[in-house]
Amino acid sequence: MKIASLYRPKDVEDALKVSRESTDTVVFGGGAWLKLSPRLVKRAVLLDDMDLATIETSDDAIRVGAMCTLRMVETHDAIAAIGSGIIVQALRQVMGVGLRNIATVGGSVMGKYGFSDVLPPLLALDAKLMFADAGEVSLASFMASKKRMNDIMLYVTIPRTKSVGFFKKVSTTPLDFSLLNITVCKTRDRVRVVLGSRPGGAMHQDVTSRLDLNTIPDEKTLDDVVREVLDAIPLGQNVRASKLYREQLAKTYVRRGVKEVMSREG
Amino acid sequence: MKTVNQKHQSVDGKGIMLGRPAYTDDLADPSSLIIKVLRSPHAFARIKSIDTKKAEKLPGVELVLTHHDVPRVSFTRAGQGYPEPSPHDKFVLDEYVRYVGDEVAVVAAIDESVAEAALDLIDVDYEVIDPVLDFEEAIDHQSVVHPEEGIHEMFPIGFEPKRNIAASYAMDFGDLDNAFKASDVVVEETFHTQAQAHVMMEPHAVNARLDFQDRLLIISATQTPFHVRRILSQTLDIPIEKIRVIKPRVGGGFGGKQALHGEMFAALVTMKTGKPSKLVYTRQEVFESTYTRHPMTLKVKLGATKDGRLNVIDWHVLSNTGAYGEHALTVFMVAGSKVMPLYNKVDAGRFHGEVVYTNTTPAGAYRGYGAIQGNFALESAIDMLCVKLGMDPIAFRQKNMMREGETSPIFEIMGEGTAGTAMTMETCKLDYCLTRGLELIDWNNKYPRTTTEDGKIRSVGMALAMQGSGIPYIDMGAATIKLNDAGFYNLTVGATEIGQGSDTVLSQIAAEALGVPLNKVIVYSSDTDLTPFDTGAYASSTTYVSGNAVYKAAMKMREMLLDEAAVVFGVEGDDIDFDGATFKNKADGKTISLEQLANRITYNEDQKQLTATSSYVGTKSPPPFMAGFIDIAVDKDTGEIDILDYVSVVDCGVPINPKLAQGQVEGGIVQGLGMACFEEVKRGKNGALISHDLLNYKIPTNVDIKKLTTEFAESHEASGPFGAKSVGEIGIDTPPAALANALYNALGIRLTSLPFTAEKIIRALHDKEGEKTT
Amino acid sequence: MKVNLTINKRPRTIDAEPGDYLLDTLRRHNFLSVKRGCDAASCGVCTVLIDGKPTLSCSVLTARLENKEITTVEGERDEIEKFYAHFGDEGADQCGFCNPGLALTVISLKRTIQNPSDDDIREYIVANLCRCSGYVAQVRAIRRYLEETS
Repeated sequence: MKIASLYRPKDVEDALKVSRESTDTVVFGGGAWLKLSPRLVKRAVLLDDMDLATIETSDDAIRVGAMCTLRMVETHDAIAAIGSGIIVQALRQVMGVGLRNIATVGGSVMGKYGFSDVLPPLLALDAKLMFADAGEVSLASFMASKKRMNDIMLYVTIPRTKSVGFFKKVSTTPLDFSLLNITVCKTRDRVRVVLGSRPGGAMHQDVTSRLDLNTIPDEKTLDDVVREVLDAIPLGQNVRASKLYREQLAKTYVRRGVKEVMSREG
Repeated sequence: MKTVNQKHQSVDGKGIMLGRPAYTDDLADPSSLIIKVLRSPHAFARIKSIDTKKAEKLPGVELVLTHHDVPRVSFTRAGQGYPEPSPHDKFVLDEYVRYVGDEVAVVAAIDESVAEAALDLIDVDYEVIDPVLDFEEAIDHQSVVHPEEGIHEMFPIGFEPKRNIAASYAMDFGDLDNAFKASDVVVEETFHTQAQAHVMMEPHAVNARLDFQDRLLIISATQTPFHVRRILSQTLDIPIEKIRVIKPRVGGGFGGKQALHGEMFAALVTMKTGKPSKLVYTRQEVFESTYTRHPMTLKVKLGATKDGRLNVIDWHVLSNTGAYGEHALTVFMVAGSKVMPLYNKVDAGRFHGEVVYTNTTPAGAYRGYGAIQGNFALESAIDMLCVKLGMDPIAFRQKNMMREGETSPIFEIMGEGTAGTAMTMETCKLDYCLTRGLELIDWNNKYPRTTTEDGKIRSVGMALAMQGSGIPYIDMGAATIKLNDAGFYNLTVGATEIGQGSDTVLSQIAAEALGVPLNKVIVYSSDTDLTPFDTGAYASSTTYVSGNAVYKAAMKMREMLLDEAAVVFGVEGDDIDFDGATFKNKADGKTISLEQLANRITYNEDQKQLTATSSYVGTKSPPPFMAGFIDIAVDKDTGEIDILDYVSVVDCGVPINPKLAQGQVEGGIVQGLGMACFEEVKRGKNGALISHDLLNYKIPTNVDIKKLTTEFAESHEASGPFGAKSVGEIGIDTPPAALANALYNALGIRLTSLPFTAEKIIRALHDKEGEKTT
Repeated sequence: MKVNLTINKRPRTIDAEPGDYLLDTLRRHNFLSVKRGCDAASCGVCTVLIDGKPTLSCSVLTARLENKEITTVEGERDEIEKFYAHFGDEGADQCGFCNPGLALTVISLKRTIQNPSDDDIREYIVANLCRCSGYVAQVRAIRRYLEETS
């Protein structure tokens, strides 16, 4: 990527206005993945001075600013306590510390990368995004939408609902992108399965209706859950794995994940 | 011994960790023109026309070179001795481009952004030709990768470019038919090995400048500075005495820097402009436009009697050298010559095949150099044979493998592209390596498989391996030792430190022979003006060949010192005791220290400079041997493998520096594990690399390698310096076969195509279950 | 544009183009310990400390570093010497190209994680790729360094 000029907006409105002026303008998070794009950026919009790098905790939610680095999130105690620590587990497997000190939550969300290990646990926990213009949007509908969100993300809100989680990244080495990532999360009234790196963007399926939330499911029930997930979430192939192998991974880890979260108190 | 076989930190590691400038790009002239190369987007094409006018007009562009501007001299970039066993099939730039990434044009500009902008301004009109991408289809393909005139072999290597054959070879001994007839059990299998990338951490880099004597100075991250000097001179018609090549610190090579890559372009740019120039490869260029390991298809057929005697080894190998024939014949031959002698009691054997051209990234030298491919095939086939025989694979190996004092006909038949050299194994501790390895891996309690607490299948597998120590009668290394005032020495060697620790190891050999502490030997290596010759860092030659040269030079220096001390004492040299620090007249007990003697002949009396130079060329190539054992846990639902331990027991003679030798073995093991588990150069349908960066070509990480157990057998090779053999390559050979055998032991599946990804394991398991049900 | 920052405790004002990355800036200013190994934020050899945190200098715009403190191995001589004492003893160095970046990551590990397990160590340095050593000697050296200097 070649960058011709930098722009530091004075406030959110300014940022929004500038970012919508031209397609040669790109809003930067950390910029680490953007760097790999071959395009020429006439104007890089930096949100560094806009006070978006804070994590605020309230009784029922944690609000993570878009400019927080992944490393800030992964080392935050309150975030580590959510969903058996699935957010932290997932983040710790994103490349190395040296990259996670650059990459931001906003960049990771707005990139909507198919290979993302950041989005699936947030989706499993039903996180919400706050945008400068569009206001609050659920991550689920953001993920489902094919439209490019021409907006400035301000923060993500993670509910502090009592929850139990499972996260598994399958990859050749810890530095590789996922062949598939599997997240399972149980709250008081819901069990959600998320498959990411399908290789497309993460998708979720709530399998609550198949399960009795107070008992450990039998093998037959687990079969049904796996079938429901595979029916609902399409898997495909790319250079890292075939569709068939992704299905095998999904069958194995959805089963293991559901079994694990159902066996634990949440 | 005081220095050899003792623990010593490397002589240079601390300075490098502290960030002292050491590598090519650290030393490059800051005013260098930046060189960028326009590379082919097509797997195969002819350049119909190329227009550089717009690029040349761009402010800041100094020079644009196309095939019209360079001498039409065929050469090989292989970086071997002369005459090379590789065909001269490459031109500096050519009207044909033969793979995606091949060089089309060269730009030199004042900075990187101008150079890159200039690349975009070059108009090329290509005639696209149907490429040869599948090497199994290459021979007599309708497209000929090298249709051009002016290419040739240096001596007969079976070069048939019109048939897409870069080299071919056949040998056999004994009566094959009878040997198979006499066999109760025959196993036949075809194995496939993939292209692997070297991924040395420092990309290829070169800096050229003209010095104040108007000579061409090349600073290059190379494994072969003397070959670089020769090949530049021959190809660019520069008098050889006008060229100086300095190899600074090199950030890893593994064979990938044996060849010339940017040197031709930097030399040309600097000669033409008179200005310093620099070419640092991007990581994508390293992947796309340097080298890979030769992919091979190996058909192996073994015959044995039911009592477990191996009668015959017969194989045909097809190797893919890619667009150019660097190391084509020799890598292919090593697949046989450094593997077959492991089982030296056979009655008959055959090794034959072809090395073919395709329109893919060229293959070249890579640690293991054919032996890893051959080892995977043969050591897998041996385990298969044992299954068919119903015999324990350890007992079978003990019965058939090479032993100390024995030989193999292969040594005499197969050499470096030519006939070989007969030799007897003066040291071969393979039996110990095997027995000790079984203990360390706890084979008896783990073979063939157990189940772990978390439901995984745990299993073990193993393989034997051998390598060589230099190429006899070809590889020459030389060393000079100079005495300084105060009694310390300079050691200058042509041998090429590329991160493997040769400067340290050679200093240790000199210090031991001279009887001084290591800090009294100051080493300087690989500068064609200042150091004596050495063929370079390849063929596992440095410790053995260059080390012997250092040893000889040190012994010569001792003689010279005794002569000087004899003058002081007025006696004969024989009448003096010398422990490296003090000379003592045996008759009267009078002493003079080395420091005093050195100062005396420097400043006071009989003044002179003492310098001893020696060289060594091997008359044999004593192989290091090893037994490698892998301990794995496999998830049979997903095919994921955890590597729990890799045990290596190695006979490399006396390890000069045990910690550095261990590092050589373990680094090799992990590269071999990468090849066994997942490393693979991947291409799209048009021949362009998919795995062109480190996001898409993965190498093992710290988290993947939890435990390695490495030991050395007690062994003393009399022909080596202080008993040493080589250790640089032996580590890489066993992991593919050991893992293949462990997976068979775990799951009953026989994988024959590298790498063994989790997905391949699952597919093989499904196929096996399918067979059961049908 | 001008950027005010601190390199190895010395305040500097540096000229930078909008698209300049810290790796290029540092090498241009003769901090040659910082190496370039890839084009894609995926090898670790360019690691420096920014405000004490290990960061890939190839992927950070210099212009974003106003008032930041940059540390390279040139600025950590004492600590590097202590670390190398163990690293060299284990023969873990080999070609050395990844060593400055690894050393800075290890120094940061020591300052941020108390009593790390071997798995914690491996995870912290996982993105500092090394093609020479086979890694286990590195981890042994790091453990000894942490034990003897913490």
